[in-house]
Amino acid sequence: MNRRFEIPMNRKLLAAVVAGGIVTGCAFEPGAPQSQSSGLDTSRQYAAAQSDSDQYGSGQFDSIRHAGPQLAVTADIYSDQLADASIDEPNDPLETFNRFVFAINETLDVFIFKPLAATYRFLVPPVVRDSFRNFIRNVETPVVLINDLLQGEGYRAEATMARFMINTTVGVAGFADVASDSGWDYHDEDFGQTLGTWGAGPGPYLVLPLLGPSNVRDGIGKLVDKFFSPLTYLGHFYDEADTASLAVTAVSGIDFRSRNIETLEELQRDAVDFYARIRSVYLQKRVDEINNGEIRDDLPTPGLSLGETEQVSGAN
Amino acid sequence: MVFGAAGPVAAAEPAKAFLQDLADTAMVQLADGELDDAQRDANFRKLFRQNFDIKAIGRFVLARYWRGATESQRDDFLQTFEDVLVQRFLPLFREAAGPDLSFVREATDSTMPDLVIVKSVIRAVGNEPIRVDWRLTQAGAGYKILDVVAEGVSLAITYRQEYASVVSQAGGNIDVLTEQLKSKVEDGAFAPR
Repeated sequence: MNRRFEIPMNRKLLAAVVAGGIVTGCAFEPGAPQSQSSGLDTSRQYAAAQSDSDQYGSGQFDSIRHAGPQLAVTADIYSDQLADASIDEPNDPLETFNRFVFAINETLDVFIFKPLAATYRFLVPPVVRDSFRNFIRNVETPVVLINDLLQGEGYRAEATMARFMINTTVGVAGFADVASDSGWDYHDEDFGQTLGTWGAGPGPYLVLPLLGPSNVRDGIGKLVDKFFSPLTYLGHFYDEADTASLAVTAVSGIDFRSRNIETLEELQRDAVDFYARIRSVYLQKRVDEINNGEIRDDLPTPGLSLGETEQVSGAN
Repeated sequence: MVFGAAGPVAAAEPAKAFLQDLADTAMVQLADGELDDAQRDANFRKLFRQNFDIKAIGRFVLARYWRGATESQRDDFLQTFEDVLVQRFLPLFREAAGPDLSFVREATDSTMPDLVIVKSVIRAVGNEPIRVDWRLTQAGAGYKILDVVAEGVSLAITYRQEYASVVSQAGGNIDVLTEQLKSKVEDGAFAPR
């Protein structure tokens, strides 16, 4: 019973367990608070009141007029803190440790994973690479399906089921993604996203060894997804399942890396602080994934959002 | 189907029409194979300054550090930031076709009445289509672009969070950031291969 779970779980799962260990004692933050817009309204009211005080000149605004500069500063701080504090205060209490792991991952990537991925891409024709990815995605269908259902996404669950049925039969055990041609496009789901839709904030940012950027919530998500994945249970039936499962994980990782070689190169070349950049991109991407591509209202925007001290205080 | 500028389609989605015009203009002024690099560079900068609210973007990107910076520090940063973006995005137009960009529709944000969003899709060769949202605000007869969001990742927010890390490590001095950006521009670090 122990042996079956040993090999496929020890590397990837160990990383997730480490993340899980850090969790104890860390509380989830609530998801994006609705109070953001009220904070912005309030600061606008302050600004309006300041300019109104000249027009009206009544005692109504006297206290605000006298408060003057202090109020402007208060409004700045108030609005900076209240609305989307997360974009300015990265929740990264483990930054020193994370940067260390990040550096190690980068080194491993330069010497091992990127060359492997590039070779894989060079040697294996796209059709074959796609068929591997299709097969793996098909096998991991339960993970996506269960999370679709947990999120109450009926249409997406239907799409996932349809894909599984079509690709397993017509698509020959999932190697051919026939379902896409019929209009059922692939979408990914994981338990981290499910927790996100239930309102769990990401928690502290984490860089996992080998696995890369993550956070406390998503780290737990990876753990839970293991229980949803058929590969975990394959060990009950086949002795060689451990190796098979590890091979699938490895191919999946290399395939993913091979599809992102240029993207990551671009991100890196451009960056003055690659770690901070990856952190920013990863966290924004997770929000996008949780919202299934719907950009939320009130996204901080240049010229219209906070940190625009000129608007609020009137100073240059 | 092409409508004139006064046509019903253009009137219904003016920001989308504006961006379509801009994209067409960019294709003509930038993707022409006959142009020499200096001319292309000059054209790009002109289009960029006209159509992006650089000051607002730069202010947003520097966040709390804008307040403490002097006028010359700010100008220095804005100029360098422009150089960064030129080096980063101009080469995309060097290929004859430019990026394959199609504008889908216009949208608004219920909390920000001054904001107009135009949704588009970029299809790079052999890759999955990329969702790109253009966030603009009305400026005079036209619009100014405030931010570009690709697959949920905002250019402005990404630069803001990354540069905040650099500036805070430099103790709040934005010149350190500006110098680093300048030396990267000189190395041609931002140009895609």
